[in-house]
Amino acid sequence: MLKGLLKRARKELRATVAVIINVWKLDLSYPLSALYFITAPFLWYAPFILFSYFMAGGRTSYTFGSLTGIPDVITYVTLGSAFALLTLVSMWSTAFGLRREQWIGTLEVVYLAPVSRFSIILGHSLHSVSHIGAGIIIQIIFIHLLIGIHINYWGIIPALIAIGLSIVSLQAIGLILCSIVLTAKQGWMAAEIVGDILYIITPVAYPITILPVYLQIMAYGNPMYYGTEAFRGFLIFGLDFSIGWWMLLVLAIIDLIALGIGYFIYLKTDEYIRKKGDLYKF
Amino acid sequence: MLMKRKSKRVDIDIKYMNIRAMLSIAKKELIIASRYKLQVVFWGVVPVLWVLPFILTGIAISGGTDSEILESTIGTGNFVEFIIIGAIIFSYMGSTIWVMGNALRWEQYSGTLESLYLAPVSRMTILIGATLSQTIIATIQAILQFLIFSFLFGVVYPFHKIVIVAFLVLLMIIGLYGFAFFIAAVIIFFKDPDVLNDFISTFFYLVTPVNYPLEAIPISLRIFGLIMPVTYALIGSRMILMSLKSSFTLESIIFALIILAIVFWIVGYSTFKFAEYWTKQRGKLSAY
Repeated sequence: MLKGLLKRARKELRATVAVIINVWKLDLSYPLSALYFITAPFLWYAPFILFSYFMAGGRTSYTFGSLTGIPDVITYVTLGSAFALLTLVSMWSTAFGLRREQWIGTLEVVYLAPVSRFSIILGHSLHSVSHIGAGIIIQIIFIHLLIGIHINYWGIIPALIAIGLSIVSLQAIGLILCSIVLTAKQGWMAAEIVGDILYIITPVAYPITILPVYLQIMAYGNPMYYGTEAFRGFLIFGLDFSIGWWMLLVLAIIDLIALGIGYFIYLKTDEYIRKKGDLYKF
Repeated sequence: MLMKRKSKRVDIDIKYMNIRAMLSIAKKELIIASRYKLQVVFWGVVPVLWVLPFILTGIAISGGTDSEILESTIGTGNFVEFIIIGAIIFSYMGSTIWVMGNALRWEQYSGTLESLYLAPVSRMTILIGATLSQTIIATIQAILQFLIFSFLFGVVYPFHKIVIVAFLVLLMIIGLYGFAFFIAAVIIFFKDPDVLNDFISTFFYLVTPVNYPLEAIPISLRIFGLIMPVTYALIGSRMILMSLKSSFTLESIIFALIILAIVFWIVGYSTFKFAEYWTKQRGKLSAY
């Protein structure tokens, strides 16, 4: 039984790796695009850094510090933005993993392959994480040198755990969105709106305490809230950021619940589409 | 004499044909858009969600909706109004570049690019037609955004001032059309419109005073912002709507917008013509 499960898991893993390699090969056929999307995240959040720098009249703001405990606005915004981009991109890739297969004309072939569709979606997501992740690492080094962000090296491992746990929970949301993209005409709109709302209720560039109460309540159920706070806290304060461990625990619990729900919804949607024979319409 | 008169008439006919083709393309795009009403509304609402993080960051840093630093720089501390004007006006730039950059690509996806290329009208008319329709859609979306912002933040601008702003926006759009021709030409060479469009709109979002005043942009980047019509439209619109102080006068802004429009049209038109000639010479239209 266990042997059979392990064998199956190995096969699924091979399929996931094959998808990652395949998408990387496609990316590298357009070297300029691949290079651009490694450097682009910096361009995407540079307006935020410039805006924050201007509004604070420099790097620090005491008003901001009294709200967040971190007066250095630039460090706060940069780390928050880097984290949010990486995790949100992984969610997008999950939501559009199968749609992308359709664009390149391989959806039917993939559906006939004797592997779980989940492994294929995971492959697309992990490809994006590796692609954007490479960009984020380059940018954090660049920002470290250019802007002078001081990172506590002891906090790198728990910060990476925060990224991993957040990506898992966003995979769950991505699976639900993938179900919407599979069934609804113009389902991408749902993915866009969910991504934008998640961004607003995540403490990327401001603490959630400044949000209206109803948004604060939503933020406490948002895995990105815990992920962003833990990631940034560990990188700034290192292992002394004790509340961060609790946040990682909450994140792990959210992962378990969300992944179960997300996978269940996705399986039901998959079953529904097959029953209706709607795959070609997708 | 008769020959001369005939050739003049042919010239007028060709011009008339180009205008008709342009309007037909615009009509076609509007009909397609009307089939996706939800999408039109969607792109009117979603940019509001993109602006909110800036406003919330400003509140967290300033402790309210007024910023002392902004006041000392431009004469008013109300950054909410400042950002809203920026977002609405910049949305024109985003949509112009996006549509003109992709217009030929979308014709290719729909399988109509070759037929359009065989039509006896200028290829520029395809681009202008597509962008014209997008300008109409962008205006509807700008009104929608403005209504949402008014509802959320209680921002109201006097109507007679909006008319002057609309004139500045019109001049900006004319200039942007020229710039977008240039982008369309570059896309013919490099083929991948998504990357170029994304880079250009993100880069100009950074270097133009959309969310912060011109003074906040580092000088090395400000130079790029100063060659874009959107910068002058933003400065002028805020001067009019928010009664801001500026080193520019309204006359100098209008002058700059006219000059930029002329320069961009000359550069954009010549580059596009060259790209088209280059593609035809090498028979690369299908590879586009």
